[in-house]
Amino acid sequence: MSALLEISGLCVSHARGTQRFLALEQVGFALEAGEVLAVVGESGSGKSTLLASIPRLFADPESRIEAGSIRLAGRELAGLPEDQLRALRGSSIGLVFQDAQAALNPVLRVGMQVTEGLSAHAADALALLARVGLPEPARAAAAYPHQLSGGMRQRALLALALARRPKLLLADEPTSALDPVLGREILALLCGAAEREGMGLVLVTHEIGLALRHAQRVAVMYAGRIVEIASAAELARQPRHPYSAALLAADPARTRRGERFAAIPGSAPAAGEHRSGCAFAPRCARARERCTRERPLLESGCACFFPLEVRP
Amino acid sequence: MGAYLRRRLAWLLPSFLGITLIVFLAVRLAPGDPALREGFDPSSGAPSAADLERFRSEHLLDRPLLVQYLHFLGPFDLSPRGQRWFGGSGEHPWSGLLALDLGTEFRRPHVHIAQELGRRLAVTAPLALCAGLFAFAIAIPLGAWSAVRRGHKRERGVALLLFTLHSIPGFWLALLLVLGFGASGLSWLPVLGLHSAGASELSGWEWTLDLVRHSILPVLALALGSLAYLARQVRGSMLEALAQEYVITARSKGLPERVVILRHALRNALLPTITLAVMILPALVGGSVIVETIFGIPGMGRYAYEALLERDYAVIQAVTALSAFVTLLALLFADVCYAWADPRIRHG
Repeated sequence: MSALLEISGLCVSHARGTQRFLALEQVGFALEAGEVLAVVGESGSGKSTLLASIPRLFADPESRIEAGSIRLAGRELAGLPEDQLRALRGSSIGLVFQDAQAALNPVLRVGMQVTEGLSAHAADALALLARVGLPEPARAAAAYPHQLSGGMRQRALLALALARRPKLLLADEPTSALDPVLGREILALLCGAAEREGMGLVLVTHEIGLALRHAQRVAVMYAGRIVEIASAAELARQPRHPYSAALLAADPARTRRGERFAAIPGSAPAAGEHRSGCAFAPRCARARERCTRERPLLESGCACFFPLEVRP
Repeated sequence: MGAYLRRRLAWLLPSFLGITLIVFLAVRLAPGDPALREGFDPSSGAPSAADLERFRSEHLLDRPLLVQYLHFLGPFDLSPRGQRWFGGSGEHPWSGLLALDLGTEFRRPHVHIAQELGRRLAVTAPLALCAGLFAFAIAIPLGAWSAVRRGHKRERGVALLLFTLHSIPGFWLALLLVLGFGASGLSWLPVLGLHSAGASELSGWEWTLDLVRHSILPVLALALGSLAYLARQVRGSMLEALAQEYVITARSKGLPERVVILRHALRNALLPTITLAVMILPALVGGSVIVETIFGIPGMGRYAYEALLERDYAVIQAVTALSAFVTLLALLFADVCYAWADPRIRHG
C-alpha cells in the first residue's frame, strides 16, 4: 500500500519584486495514514511554505511550485488544475492555522463558518463544535469570532478543519498563539482526532520539544531543505545532523536550571540568499572545507557529510 | 452603543453652528456689496443713496457682525421690523435659523427661501440620488473586479481610466460631455434643461422618456468623479480584505472562488464603504452647482450659483446651512449603519 502523502523533489519559489527565489528546495518525505509528522525549524526555514504548497494555498499568490511531486493517496497534486484541487480542499485536506483570530471571518457567525460548504445532512454545527470539546456549542455557533476566547476560537477552527473528515490534516503552528496549557489541550485534541479517524497529520512547529512529544516522526528544516528526518525517539536519543543537535540543545525545556542556554551562533540565511555548499556550514562547529564547497543531499534521513555518530 | 449615539448627537449642534459661523463669515469677508449688485431695481436704473441705505438697514448690513450673526440664527428678529425687545416694531418677531425660518431673498423680497429651496431640491435631489446610485452600482463591482484582477492588462487600463476620471475637474468633464454628445458634436442627447420645449404637450410616457434623455448627461457629469473615487476606495479595501488569512481559510474549505470573493472578502471590504457613501454627498451637492449651471437645470446648485453672483447672503447661507445639516445627519446615519453592519461594534 502506498503512503497517504508522498512528496518528492519539491521546489517552491516566492516572488520578491521582479525576482524569484527558491523557498523550498528538493523537499521530500512520506506520511502514512494515522501518522503524525512534525516539521520543525526556525522562522523562514520554509516549513509553512511546505504546508501551503500541498493544497496550493500560498499566502502570496505569486508563490508557485517549480518542480517536484506531491501525491495524495496516489494522486498527483502538483500541476492539478485549480478546480480539481479545490474539490480536494476541505474534503481530503484539512487546514488548521496558527492565529484563529485572523483565520476566522470577523463578520460571519462561527457556526456558519464551520458548516459552510458542507452538504445539508452533514451541516450540524452543534455536533461539529461539540466534537472539539467546546463547552456550549449552541452559544459558540451563534457567536461571532470576537465573542469567543482564544482557546474557543482555536477549537472552532479545528472543528472547521475536521468537518468533512479529511484524510490529511495540516496544522501550521496551531498552538503558538495560545498559552502553554491551552496549547497542550489543543494539540492533544488534534492528535487524538488524527489517531481516532486514521488521518495523517503534518504538524508544523518551531518548538522541537513539542514535536518530540506529539509526533511519531520529525523532519528538521533549515533554509528551505529538510536536513534530517527521523523517528521522534531516535531524534531525541541521538540527533545526527549538527543543526538538529543544536536545536535540541537550544530547547529551553531541556536546559537545566542554572545551566547556560545553548543558543546557536550566527543567524539563519536571509530568504533568497544563495551560497554554495551546506547552508548551515557558517554556523556549524563541525564544518570542514568540503561543507562550503559541496551541498550534502538527504541520504538515509540526514543531509550532512560529517554526521554525529550514532551511539551503539 | 447608546452612549456612543448620545455623544454623537450632542456633537451635532456645535458642529452645525460652527459650519454656519464659518459660512457666515466667509460670505461677508468676500469682496462686493449685496446692496450694489446688478439689477437691484431695474425700474429706476441706478439705485439712489437712500435706497442703498434702506436696503442695508433692512438687512442689518450696517450693524456689527455679531448682531448680524445672531439675527441669522434667530429666533428673535433683530431687524427694524422685528422683535420689540431689540428695538424693532414687533411686526415680525420670529425668524432665524433656530426658528426654522430661512427668511426671504435679498433680491426678491417676496420670495420665501424655504419654499424656493423646496422647489429647487425637487429637481436636484432626484438627479443627485440617481448619480449616487449609479456611482455605487458601477464602483463596487468595478473596484472588486480590479482588486481580484490586480496587475492584469485590462485592470491596468481601468486603473488608468479611473485615475484620470478622479483627477479631471467636474466642470471640464461636464463641458466635454456637452461638446461631445450635444448639438455641436454627436447630437445624441439634449444638453440644455430637463425638458424639451413644448414637453408639457407630450403624453405621460413620452414626457418621462424626454426627462430621462435630458437627465443622462447631467447625471453622468455628476457621477463620474465620485464613481472613480469610490471604485478606487473599494479596490483598496478589497485588496486589503483579500490578503487576510480568513480568505485562505475560506479557500481551504474548498469553496468556489466566487463565494470566497463575494461572501468572505467583499463583505468585509464594503464595511468602510458605508462611510464613503456619505462622503460623496457633499461632492454631489458641490457638483450640482457646476453641472446645473452648465446644463441649464433650475435646481439647488444653480440657485446657489446665482445667489453667489448676486451676493444674496440670505440664499447662500440657507443653501449652505441645509447642505451642512443634511451632511451631518448623513454622517451620523452612516456611523450608525457601520456599527450595525460590523458585529465587532454591534456586540462590542
